[in-house]
Amino acid sequence: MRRRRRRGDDAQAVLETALVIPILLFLVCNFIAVMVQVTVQEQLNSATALAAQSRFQAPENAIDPSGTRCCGAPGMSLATAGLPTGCRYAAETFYGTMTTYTGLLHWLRATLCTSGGDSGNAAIPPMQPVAYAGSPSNAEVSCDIGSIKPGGTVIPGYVDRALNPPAGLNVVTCSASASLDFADTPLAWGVFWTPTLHAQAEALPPPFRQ
Amino acid sequence: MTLRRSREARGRQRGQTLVVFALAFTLFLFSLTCLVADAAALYVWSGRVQTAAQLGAQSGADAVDPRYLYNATGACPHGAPGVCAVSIVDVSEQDRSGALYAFQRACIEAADQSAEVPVDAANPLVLKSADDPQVPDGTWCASDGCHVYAKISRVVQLPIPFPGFPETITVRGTGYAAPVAGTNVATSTCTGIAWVPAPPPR
Repeated sequence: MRRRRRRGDDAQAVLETALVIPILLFLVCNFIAVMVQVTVQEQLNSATALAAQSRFQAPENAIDPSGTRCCGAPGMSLATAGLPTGCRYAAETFYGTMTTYTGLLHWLRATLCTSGGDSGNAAIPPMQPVAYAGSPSNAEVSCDIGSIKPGGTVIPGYVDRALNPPAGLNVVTCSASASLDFADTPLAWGVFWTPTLHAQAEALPPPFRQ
Repeated sequence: MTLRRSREARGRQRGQTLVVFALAFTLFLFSLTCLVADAAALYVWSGRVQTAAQLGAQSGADAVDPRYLYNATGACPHGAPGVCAVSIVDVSEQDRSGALYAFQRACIEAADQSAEVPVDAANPLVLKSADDPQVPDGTWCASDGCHVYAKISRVVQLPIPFPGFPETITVRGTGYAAPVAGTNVATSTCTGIAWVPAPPPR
């Protein structure tokens, strides 16, 4: 009689464990996934902010000479010849900063260098930036950057109308978007969501370097 | 009779243990939740503030007049006759509004915005700018003549404050950056001579 009861207890314990362990594993997987998502989002914010700021470290009005290439995923570096050097600096900074968990990211690729965007206000409609001629369209980061062509033609950057109202201020903006996919990791067992992460940063032109 | 009493006493004890265990376990779980949530928030904020300090320092370094680094001369301010040494101090009317140098304004502006330092803790959407007092949290920027330093203090509200402990913790970050000249060939090296006559007031 006692032996039969002990066997019943054992069976109950096994059943309880079998029910609890998957739930615990599911929770642990999702905790780790949230942690990874927060880390990647912070890294993306930093990378876009530093990329926008690094535009001002390029030599004034410099244009990349022919044959210049930079960064990018292995085997698909970006050709930046004829583009503002500040644009390449921004890309190099972005790719150099995004170093961890990049294998989990599916990038929403965009044009590397654009110009002429406008945030708009009550009187002026917002305007989308246009791509620089010859700018790579498969970059992981996109920057709206003003420049001056060798002939002296001014190419405007992004006008943020919230600054210096009502005229706005010509600033540099960089943005990047990617979806975080856990499908190729053991976490896929318990993580069923694929969040899309986005970061946008703006750098104000310093008074002596514009 | 004695056996019955003893059985009743044991039953009462078992009930008491259950209550004590339930209370202790609840407290333990609550503490654990507080610890995990607060540690996670502080981890995120410490990273964010450190990045903001780095960005602020870089922004400040980019706002240094490169001509000043090369001991260049140019037109004197306010239309005065002659040739003057290029000054690091703010030259435009827009930048002159305030007691800060151009590099400090750029540094503080970028760091405050990046670390999301609010003007008023009750309204976290309105962020500080260079003209706002940088206390109790905010950014301090200075230079030793070779680098721009940025120090940020950010008061972080803990998501689940533990009863009896502070509800906020100040997170700090420090960054430094050297200015880039902006020409193809550098004509001078950093001497360590301070750009500013005295450290700015804290």
